Amino acid sequence: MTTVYLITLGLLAAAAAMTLYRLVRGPTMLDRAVSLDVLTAVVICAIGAGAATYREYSMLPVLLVLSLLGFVGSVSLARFFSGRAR
Amino acid sequence: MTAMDVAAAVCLLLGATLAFAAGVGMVRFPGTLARMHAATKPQVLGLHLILLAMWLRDPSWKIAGVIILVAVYQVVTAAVAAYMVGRAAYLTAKPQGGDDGDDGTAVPSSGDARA
Repeated sequence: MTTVYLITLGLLAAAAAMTLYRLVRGPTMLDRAVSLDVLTAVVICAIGAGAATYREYSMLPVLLVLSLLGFVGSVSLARFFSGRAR
Repeated sequence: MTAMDVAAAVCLLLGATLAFAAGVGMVRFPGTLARMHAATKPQVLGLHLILLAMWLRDPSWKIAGVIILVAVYQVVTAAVAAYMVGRAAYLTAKPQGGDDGDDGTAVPSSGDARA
């Protein structure tokens, strides 16, 4: 299980790094909103992988909060930056 | 390792692979709408596979309640957020229709519907 966990963490870290690249580069604010949403999903996946590996379920409320937080972030960004390109 | 653990490991690896594919898509795809296509992979299927792996490691109703709640929230909010971002991206982009400005969608491609 530890090997599986390490491979999972490696894949998730690579995904987070590539998402962060898009978050920094843009070019529009909507691209950043999308990549922020993906980053939140990847963080939820990483926390869930840790919980599944060690059977440690104390962080379940964190998953609940994160799944709603990403929604609020991307919707408000899309709301405020729909007219302007950058 | 029991059969449940093997299934959980497979779910973890599949979910992480989907997240990795989304990362590659975020870097390689052109345009906001194309990147939104890549973004849905870890948001829905990848996350659900990880949550399924969590449940397979400890199959109890106490865990399943919160996990089902997270899964339902994620499905509902991902759809609404994708609608908002996609609409904003479509309205910001250049008009793609013919000379009459009709590109086959119900959304007006000029800027007047930008409320």
